[in-house]
Amino acid sequence: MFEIMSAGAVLAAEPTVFLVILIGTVFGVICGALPGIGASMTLVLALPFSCRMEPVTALAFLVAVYCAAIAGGGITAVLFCIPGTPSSLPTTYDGFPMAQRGETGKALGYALFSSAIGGLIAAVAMAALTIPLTDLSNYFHLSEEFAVVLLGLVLLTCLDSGNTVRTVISALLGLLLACTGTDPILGVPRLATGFGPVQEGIDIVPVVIGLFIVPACLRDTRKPLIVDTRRSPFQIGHRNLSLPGFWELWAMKIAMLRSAVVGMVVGIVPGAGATIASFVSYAIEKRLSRQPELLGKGAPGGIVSAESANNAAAGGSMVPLLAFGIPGGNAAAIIMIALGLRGIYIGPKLITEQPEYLAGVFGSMLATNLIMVIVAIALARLLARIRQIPYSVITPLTMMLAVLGTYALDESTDDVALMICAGIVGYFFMRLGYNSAALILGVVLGRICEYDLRTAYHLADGNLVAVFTRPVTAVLLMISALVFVLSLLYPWYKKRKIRKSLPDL
Amino acid sequence: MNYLFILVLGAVCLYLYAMLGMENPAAGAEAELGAAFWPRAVLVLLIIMLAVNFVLDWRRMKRVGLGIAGSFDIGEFLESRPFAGMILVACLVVGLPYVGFLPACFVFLIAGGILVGEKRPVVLFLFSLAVTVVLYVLFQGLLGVNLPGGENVFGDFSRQCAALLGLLMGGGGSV
Repeated sequence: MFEIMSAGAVLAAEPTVFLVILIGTVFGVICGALPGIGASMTLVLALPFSCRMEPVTALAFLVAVYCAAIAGGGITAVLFCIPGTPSSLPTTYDGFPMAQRGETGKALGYALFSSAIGGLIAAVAMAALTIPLTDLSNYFHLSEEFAVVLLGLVLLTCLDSGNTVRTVISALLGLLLACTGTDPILGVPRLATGFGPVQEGIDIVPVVIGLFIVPACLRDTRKPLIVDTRRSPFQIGHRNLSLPGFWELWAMKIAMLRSAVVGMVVGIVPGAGATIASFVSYAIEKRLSRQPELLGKGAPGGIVSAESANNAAAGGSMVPLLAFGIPGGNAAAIIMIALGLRGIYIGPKLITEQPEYLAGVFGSMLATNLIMVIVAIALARLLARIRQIPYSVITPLTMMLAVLGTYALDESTDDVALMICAGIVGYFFMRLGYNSAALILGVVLGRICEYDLRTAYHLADGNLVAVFTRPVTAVLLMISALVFVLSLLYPWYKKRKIRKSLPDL
Repeated sequence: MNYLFILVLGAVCLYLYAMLGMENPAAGAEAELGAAFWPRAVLVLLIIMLAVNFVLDWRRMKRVGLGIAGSFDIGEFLESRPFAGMILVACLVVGLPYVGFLPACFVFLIAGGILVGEKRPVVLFLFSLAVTVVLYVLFQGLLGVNLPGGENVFGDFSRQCAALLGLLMGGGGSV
């Protein structure tokens, strides 16, 4: 573990890598603070730029962008009561009231320092956990790998409680799209429908960019010109940017540490993510706080619990990706795609044979969480004005960046056309309540699932029962089935409970 | 609208299921599942989930008294901003190879701004011009991406801009 940590620190200190991390941090903080652009969208916008970097540098860049974007969302949560990313919503409960009473700098300071502490703790925990988990997964038979990937996919789809059926359909569509092109084992063409863009298999990056960016931009055309009608504390005279003192931060140490642990644990669970982590942590803080009545009115504990947890979750979501090759959420899936473009499949074998990738992730998280506090404070006044930027500027600019980024991959307008087609389909997907993120995860994990299952079947001499009845495989498959069935039945059970509790008319 | 989506997708799934059986017959070897196994398994699950979705939606729509189109109004959609946005980006993609990046980006930013509701023409013009130049310098100059130059007169204009950029960057920019 210490070798990884020192290698990561040395890597982050290299001038090129440090510059890339710095640029990623600034980009992430600014985009995270922009209205309508979340952490995943920020990562998608950064994805094409990473294609021109060395793999480890690209990984460090994307991790920096993601961690900084999560923190950037907290800044506008404090300044405008509008979270830049969904995971910063609990920060608005206490951050904005604290800023409104003239303690803008303190509120920002609590948000940024707790983000940094949460991120640093997650980085250390990630370095500590990944190697043993990787060693464990290296003992996995292919059937166990199949079961782990399937469990990850089930958790990622079924934990979206918005509409489980449509999310599952989206994931299945992704699995189907992953089958296009050439069969991975026999090398024969498959689903050769003659439809050009999918004939050779799906080119995933333009599709990802299209599915994430285009629907959001089309949706934003319906919004009012300027999102923020509330004046920031800067504009109403509260320009006090004094940061909290050391002892004020020290008084929050227990809350920070507890929230970081909660965030890390929640982040490790595929599908749970930074948003759930921040809400869970806030709820725990409310329960354990000595003055719970102050939460929601500008208490430092409220800010600290949310921001520490969401940045820690960002680090936690890297653990299943590095140890098992299962992305813990959208961001990890995008990072997986970025490396997959170069033929590098992140997972236990890569981490064992080339530990510099783990060192790169650790180094980037270390440097980002240290730099972003300085960057964010330096940009505080600029970021205060960001919410005043109208959608007439942000929406076309975001769209243009997506077009340019897609074009830059292969200098091909065909990729741009594919991106736009995917985006328009993605818009209807979104309007009908389907889940583009689940579709992407299906595409990313589909090939792995199929390869593992078919190879395991071949190694078991055609005995499918022998494949599925291996103890670990059987347990994981049963858990997957249970989660799947429960997630389908839960909404029905909830409706039944509500109907029973309504008074008879 | 969702019914239509489910029916179309269901029909496509059935077609693909049949097609897979024809183009990828069952594996000759005993210890190989074959190329068609996995996609067929996915298609079966997909068809089942589509049927479940259809039934759930049907019951919900019946409860609230909506018809097969649900609450989707095609007339309203065709007049909506998202539809106009789709037309705009489609025009951008189609026009980009012919007019080149600079004119396409400039016009797109202005049109996009008007679509979203910007009413200050001078601000929109200046912003679009500035952003076009910045993006051009960033991608063509600093990142070395050969942006689409366009054809005929647009191509000539693009080459002149690239030459100017190259001069400004001391010969370091892409031409």
